[in-house]
Amino acid sequence: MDLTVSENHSSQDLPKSRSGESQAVSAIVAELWVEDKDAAVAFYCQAFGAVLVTGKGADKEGAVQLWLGSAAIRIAAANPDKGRFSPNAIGGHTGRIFLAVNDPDVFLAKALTLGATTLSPVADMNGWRSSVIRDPFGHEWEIAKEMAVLHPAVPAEKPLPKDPLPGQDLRNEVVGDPILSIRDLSVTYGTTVAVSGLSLQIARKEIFGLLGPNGAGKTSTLSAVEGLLTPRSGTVLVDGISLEKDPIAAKARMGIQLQATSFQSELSVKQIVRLYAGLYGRSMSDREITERLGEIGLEGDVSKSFKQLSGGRQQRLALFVAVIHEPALLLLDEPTSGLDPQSRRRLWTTIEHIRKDGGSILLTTHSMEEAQAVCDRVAIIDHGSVITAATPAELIARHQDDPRVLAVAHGEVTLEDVFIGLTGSGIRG
Amino acid sequence: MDNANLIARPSLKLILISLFRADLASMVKNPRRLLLSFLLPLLILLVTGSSKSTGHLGGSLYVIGLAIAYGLVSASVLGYALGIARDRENGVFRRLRVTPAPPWTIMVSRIGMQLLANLVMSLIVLIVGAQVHHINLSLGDYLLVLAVSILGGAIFIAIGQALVGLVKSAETVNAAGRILFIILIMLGLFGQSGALGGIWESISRWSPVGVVMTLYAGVLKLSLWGSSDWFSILAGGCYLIACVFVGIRWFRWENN
Repeated sequence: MDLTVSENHSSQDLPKSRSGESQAVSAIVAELWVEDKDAAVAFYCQAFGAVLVTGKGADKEGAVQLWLGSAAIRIAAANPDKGRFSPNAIGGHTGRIFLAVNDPDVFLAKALTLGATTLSPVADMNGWRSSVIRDPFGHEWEIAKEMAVLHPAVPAEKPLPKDPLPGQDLRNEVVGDPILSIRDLSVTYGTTVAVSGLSLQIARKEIFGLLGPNGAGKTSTLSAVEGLLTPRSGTVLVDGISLEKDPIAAKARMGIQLQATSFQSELSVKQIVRLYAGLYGRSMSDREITERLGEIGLEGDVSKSFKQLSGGRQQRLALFVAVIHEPALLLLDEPTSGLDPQSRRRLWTTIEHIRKDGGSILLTTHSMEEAQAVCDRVAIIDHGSVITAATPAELIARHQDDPRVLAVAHGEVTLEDVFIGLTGSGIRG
Repeated sequence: MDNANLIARPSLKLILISLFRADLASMVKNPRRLLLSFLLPLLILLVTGSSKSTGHLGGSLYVIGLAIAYGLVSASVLGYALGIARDRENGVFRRLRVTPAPPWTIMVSRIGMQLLANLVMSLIVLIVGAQVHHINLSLGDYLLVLAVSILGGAIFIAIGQALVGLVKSAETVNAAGRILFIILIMLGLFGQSGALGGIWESISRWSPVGVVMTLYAGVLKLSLWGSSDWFSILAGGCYLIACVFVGIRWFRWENN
């Protein structure tokens, strides 16, 4: 297959088809939103990186086919000078002209920049498919013979981009059914924008670290996910359930340990456990509560109040309460803050057990060492937006040659160097 | 973490039961709140009962009404409001709000428990008052007093709610609550005695405490029930609506 790749944003310097021949498009490699999963076997992450899965667009139950994914990788390999495929390569009129001029074999596009008005006439002209394109999302499925699923977090046959492109889409979507999907989240306090168009997804059984300096928007993001504040815009789906539309069901799937947990001071440990079990729809007998508390070494504290417990025991109880209903997603806001090494070690062991049992974890931390050691993926956010996201190792690989990172690194580049390099050395309030 | 164990949607009934049970335990285990509820009313009954000088206060029935009304004021304006302000400041509400419990259930539980406490306090004060002042009360009298306690309690809880709606910090709520408490007490105690003059007597008469005291006196002596009692119900309703509006409109679950 002779393929064409575009990184252009204007019609003046659109690339010519290498084949020079006019032929019907054989494939469209494009983004799809998660909601489109019913329409397509595969759904998209980013328009650069590695191909994870491909499948027939029209065949909902079809087996995954990898040949198109390989083809997409070959596109990258054939265009080393491009380095990556811009998600904004084509849009609106530019896209229409590009398609008309190049008649490409493989078409890499970003869903949002291609509306039905763009694709529909071109599809008709090229005889791709005659079906009506119904809506701006998911129309790729209507006209594509094959679909590709791309993901930036998996090692590709080509080098990963070393720094984000201007306008790079950091939706950070995952393959499969994500346990948490945040899309275009914006949070404002008066005129202050705390979170601006933040998008990310967390896969099942994944430990995801949200990193950022003070004031970056971590807590606002978490607060929006926890339902503590109403975002100005954007959606939060927990296990596919909209937090806005069905907060009870969405919250029932989450376990949350706040940065500073406080329970009613008059309640005993047993009463606290019974209260929170009830709030998650579980009735527990005294014997059951004592037994469960015994699992975390608090069986002797059932009659004590929360404030009578040591810091480590308080933290254990707080985590116990957070997972009392065996949530699918656990949110931890700086869980190791103020803990001694033993308690920290125990916490990470517990978190690992939670993951092994099928839970996913979203945590914030200021400890880059912990994030590097524990998290499957991390996102660095600053000024309310994700500035980069990948596995810790990939982030280091991606940014290790960045002058900003090199300027702060002492020896081998670490995640902390990447973090400081990308977010700046200045102390935040 | 097996999703099969996950309860898709906790029932509101279990959520409310859990909250009620916890709030009841909190209230019973809080000596300060119990003291606030019972100390002043019982003190008033004991002092007036032994001195036999209740005539200038409107008689024994009026004194019992006064005692219950003051119990409601102290329990609601000081106890309830301060409890809400402290739990807000300490992050207790924040922790509760991240659970599936809808915010209104948290507040309904708090208010419901305070209303229940008000009823228990009213009943005990009424029984003690009847004993101390040697008054025979019928079952109907008890029921009517409890009915007024529901209305009176609701008015003072609404005032407490308005207070925590307008004032954020627990310390300021504590200070403002004490000042409000003293003003309400003074208005009720001295205003209606006529010691401060006619204008103050009228102000006192139609103050929240005055309205509730009038209603207690009215139901304890139904033969004297008249238009002023109906107007007192109306005034109480107005206080209730106004304070509920303020308490909801400006209430924040968190201080920051």
